[in-house]
Amino acid sequence: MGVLAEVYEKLNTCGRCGFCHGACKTYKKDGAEYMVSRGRVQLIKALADGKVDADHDYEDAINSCLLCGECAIACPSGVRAHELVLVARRDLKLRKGIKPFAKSLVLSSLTKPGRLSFGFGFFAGFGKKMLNGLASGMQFYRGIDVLTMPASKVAFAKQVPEVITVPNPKRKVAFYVGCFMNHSLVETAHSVVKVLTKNDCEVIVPREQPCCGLPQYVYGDFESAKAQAKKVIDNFGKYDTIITACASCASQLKKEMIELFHDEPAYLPKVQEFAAKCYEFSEFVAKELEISDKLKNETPVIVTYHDPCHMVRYNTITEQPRKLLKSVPRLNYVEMFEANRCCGAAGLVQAFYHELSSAITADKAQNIINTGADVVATSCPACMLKINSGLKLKGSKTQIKHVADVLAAALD
Amino acid sequence: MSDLVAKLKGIVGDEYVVTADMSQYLRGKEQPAAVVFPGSTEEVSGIVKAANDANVKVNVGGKVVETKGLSGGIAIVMSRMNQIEEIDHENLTCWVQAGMNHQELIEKLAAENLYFAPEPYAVSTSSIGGCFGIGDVDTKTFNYLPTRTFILAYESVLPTGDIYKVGTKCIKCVSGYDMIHFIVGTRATLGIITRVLVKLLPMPKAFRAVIADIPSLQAAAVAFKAIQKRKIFPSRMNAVSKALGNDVMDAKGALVLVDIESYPVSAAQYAKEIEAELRIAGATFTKVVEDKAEYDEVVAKWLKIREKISLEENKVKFTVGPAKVGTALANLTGIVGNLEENPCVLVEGLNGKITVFSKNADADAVAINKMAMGLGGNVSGLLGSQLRCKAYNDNEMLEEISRVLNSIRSQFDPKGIMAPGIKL
Amino acid sequence: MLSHSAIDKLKSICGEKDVITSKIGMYAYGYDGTMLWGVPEGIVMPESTQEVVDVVNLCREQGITIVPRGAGTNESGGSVPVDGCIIMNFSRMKKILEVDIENYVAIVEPGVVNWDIQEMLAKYGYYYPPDPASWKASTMGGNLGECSGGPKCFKYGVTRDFIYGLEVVLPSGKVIWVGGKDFSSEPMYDMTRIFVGSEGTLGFITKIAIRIQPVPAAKKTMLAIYNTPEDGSQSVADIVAAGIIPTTLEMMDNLIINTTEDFVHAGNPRDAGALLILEVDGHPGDMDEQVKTIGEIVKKANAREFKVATSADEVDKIWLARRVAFGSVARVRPNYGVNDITVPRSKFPQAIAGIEKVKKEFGVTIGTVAHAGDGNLHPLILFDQRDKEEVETVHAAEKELCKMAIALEGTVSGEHGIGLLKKPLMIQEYGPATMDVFKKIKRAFDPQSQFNPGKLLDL
Repeated sequence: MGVLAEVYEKLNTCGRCGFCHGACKTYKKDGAEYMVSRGRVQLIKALADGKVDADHDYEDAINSCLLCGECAIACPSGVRAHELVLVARRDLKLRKGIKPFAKSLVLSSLTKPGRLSFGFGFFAGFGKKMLNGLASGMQFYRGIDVLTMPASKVAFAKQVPEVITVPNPKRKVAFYVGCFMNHSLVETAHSVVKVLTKNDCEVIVPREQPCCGLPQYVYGDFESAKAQAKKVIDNFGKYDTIITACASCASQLKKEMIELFHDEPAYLPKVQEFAAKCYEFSEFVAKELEISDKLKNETPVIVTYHDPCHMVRYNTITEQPRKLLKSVPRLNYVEMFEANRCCGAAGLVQAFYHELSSAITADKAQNIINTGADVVATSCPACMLKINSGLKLKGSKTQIKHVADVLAAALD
Repeated sequence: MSDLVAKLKGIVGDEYVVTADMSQYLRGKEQPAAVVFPGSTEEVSGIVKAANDANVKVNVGGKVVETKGLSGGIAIVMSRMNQIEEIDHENLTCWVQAGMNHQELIEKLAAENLYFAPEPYAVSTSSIGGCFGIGDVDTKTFNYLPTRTFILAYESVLPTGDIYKVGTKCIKCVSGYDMIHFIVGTRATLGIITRVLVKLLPMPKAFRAVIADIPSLQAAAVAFKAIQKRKIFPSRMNAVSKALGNDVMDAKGALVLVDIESYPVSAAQYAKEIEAELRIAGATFTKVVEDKAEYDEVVAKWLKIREKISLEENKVKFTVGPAKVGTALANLTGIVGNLEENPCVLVEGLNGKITVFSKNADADAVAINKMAMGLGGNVSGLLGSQLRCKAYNDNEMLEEISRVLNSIRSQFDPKGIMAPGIKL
Repeated sequence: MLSHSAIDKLKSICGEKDVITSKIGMYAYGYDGTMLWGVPEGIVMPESTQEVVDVVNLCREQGITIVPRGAGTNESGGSVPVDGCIIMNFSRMKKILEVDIENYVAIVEPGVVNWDIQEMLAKYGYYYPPDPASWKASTMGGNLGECSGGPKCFKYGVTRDFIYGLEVVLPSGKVIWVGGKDFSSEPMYDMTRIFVGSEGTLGFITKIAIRIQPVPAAKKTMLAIYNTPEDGSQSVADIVAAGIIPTTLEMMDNLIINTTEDFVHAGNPRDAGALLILEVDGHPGDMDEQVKTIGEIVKKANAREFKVATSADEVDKIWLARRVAFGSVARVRPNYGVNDITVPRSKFPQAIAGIEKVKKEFGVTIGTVAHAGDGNLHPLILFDQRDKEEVETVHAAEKELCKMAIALEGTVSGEHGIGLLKKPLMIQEYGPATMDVFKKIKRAFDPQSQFNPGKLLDL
């Protein structure tokens, strides 16, 4: 039974009522029973009981879960299927290692900063030109808009001074940039710094920005995830306030890391102490800074907001970004239908199961288009990229921006 | 044959078997061997078993029995089984025998402050068995749901003579096939219902009627649409052509009859708004009836009109949906001629249903069905179902529906003795 | 096992991705909302009526039986596979084909989820009244097959009352339309009604014309708390006697009040014997009178508390405990069995007493939530499915509850259906003559028992 033994009790509480069907986006799109939490939970239990094999079909059922956490809210029996799926992925990793694609291309490179930099650097230069020359169908390679995916030759953390000073510093914060923002959405990282510095925060951007370990964690590689967590704590543990503008990183730093170390009681307090010092960008700005008086804007703009799963269900940060957006003058905030439902990016699901993922994104894009918004704001680089491709495929001109981008633009 | 009559007399008693002067109990040209008046379910069972043994046909009626195909058979008249067996205030139900007169039941229930919504074409002469046997969809369907909604349980004698019972006093029951509701509208082809448990409602708290003289049926249709746009859904909201309307008042144009059963505040408010919409649509005369006695009179007159419509043999009934009544009326003129001068036009505003007299009903039904289908509707009932299949040129579906209907019938009635006049 | 050629033919009909024969597929389609299991030979997921017809014809030729399935949320075993069958899963036939607001009708495919219709209609201020607890998950085809109810049924009726017409694929492989877009298009026999609640044993529904209606202009939500369930049911009887038909009369007993308090701290008193949630709707001008009458009745029945919600937040607060009722008991023991007994409203207190008796006799824990207006009780029996002995006791207790309902002139199922679970109890409810009538219906449609064989009844 292996690691599944740890959660066998929890697997048993699923009463098979099927109420999760309404909450599960992968089921909505696929319609097969093993693509919904009830099916996944039953299969994990069946594997533990030796009734099914960890074959390719099983792997797909487990790996296609978005981990969005919606089903846990719908479940009358309180089953947290996404957490059980995490354990099942760990079990799979122990049984047969990680899927080669994930391993070679993404997960391992994230743990090796040099390779990651090189990758993005190559992409920013020659690679993009090469892709430009290919058929236009390649533009949306596996559902990811590779052409419009920005890539920076030089990582953000190397573009700015390690300490960004302000005339009258009232606070001192460390900026945990996160891989995606550091290498790809560099402009957003600049926006974050601008919002913080314009509000009298001295911002420290450590040169070393190790991956938070979330990608490894969600595919069951707890060892690598732990190693990454320790690296992050080594580099950032000395600061009193750590801010990240990536919802996924925020979830990992604030919550999941603690889960990860529950079997290491000696190290756990250190993680807990660290987690308590970490803030998601909107959370910090809304709580600590008096920003609204400083915001200026002349052009009327309609804005809606997409809640990343890691903001709304892994954390509970939903009001803060909305409050910040609404404080921008002449900004007309509209709520979209199902704002808090997953956009389909879901880490590597978009790469492994691109058709499924893109179908979910298409719904999200349509909901955004239906609001008539000029800008859709959100708090997660992965969502930004995925939603952008969804909007483009529908020919929409709605722009996707990070909350920090919207605020920074109003601080000129 | 006299064997059979003797047997019947043995079952129900001599005085309840009539073999001479039967005409008052019969409708149609053919002559059965006897008219029988059973007094209990067991007696009905005995009669049907006797018919099986003698291999003769059986048909049933509340007061009068249709004799088509019944030569030499048995006509069962249910008029002796005319009792209310139980009124259950707590569960809002009532056990009633099938031969009970509809009007009488309504009155007896009203005396107990209870309400029975189904409204067959001829309330004054219909029996409860007939009400459910035919299962007409009346104008009150929109608010109260169709007739079948009001049957909770029944006892019935199968064409083989066996007795069975389904249903409970529970308004929710999904145990087994839904025979409770399926039986409604099957005439007597699947057996003879002898006792029925009906669902009752509390008596509404307030009543209002609105009557109007309006230049045309088309104008009435405009008003009906506007009233529904206001999200007002009265109990009945109908318009009839001048010839029919004259029974109620001396109308210059078409007559509109609307009535509301609700609570005091909303009833008054609705009546006001309905009157206003009728005025806007061009009504030359309108009146809101507040007095309950006067209200009852209006309803009684309406029921008279309805009975008159039911007696008209050459008519076509079709539905197009409430929003398309106006268009349908316009198109209808091209098929049956001027509607205002038609002796019998009924427009049911809420059901989106139109009944129209036609000299040439069979041929016109085809044209009317085509027109109605263009508007997303169709001619009602079995005829409509057949016409729709024909319009789609779908003989296969037509045959299949007929096959299924007849296969159900033959499962219940393997010898084919019940209701010989009914063809499916 | 399905032959390779049969699988190939199914794939050529439905497409490669719509035919599932994987090991995990067989496992995942083995269950529904009950504890029953079976193993299908394969799963097909048709996307059109024509595909359904072709699969039905192929299966008839090859002697393969078919079990239909929507979301598989049913509570009676109706979609559990039987030996040698394939599952026909309608979850990919989920288009809303037509919405005609002005004529109060919509046409949908069977795989559409009830909730999706509600969301679509909400934009127009309309809704589809049947609201089973599973409405966010269960499909219209499934709702139709089981004739689902829900809290609003007391006033508005159940699924059968909102179905205008159906497109049906019969076991013969032929397609028929029954009914239309109104209540008067039936071909003499009300064919639509016989399919509603037939659990897929007579035909497979491929299109459904439903009646939709406007959302009432006003609604009032009330909460009454009682020392005993008897006082609660007295209120229910008196309210109806006073001529008021509330949309909702939901009752919870002491155990459920406590489990919900443990879970969400809704603020209800733990020593209360019963709690009643009441809702009335209609014209705004009619609300005050009804609320006043209800208030007086409730006080007369010795209610210790009576609240009328004055804001949306308060409405949510009143509903909070009821919404989490099922989940809250799942936190007490790993599993719970949902029963669906229904008795005449006047027998409600006796049913409550009967449940108490079963509790004592079998030594089981039961919490009861009920749609009190229509006498539909859901006693939840708590247990752990791994304890085989306990499972046996629970089954025996459930059987006893059903017998009690029958003895009170009620039924074993108010809204969940018969399926496999309650099939053995049918004969007790009806006797042989009526069972024989049901068999006639099955024989008329499906003499070979090709569609969902062994469900609801055995031929």
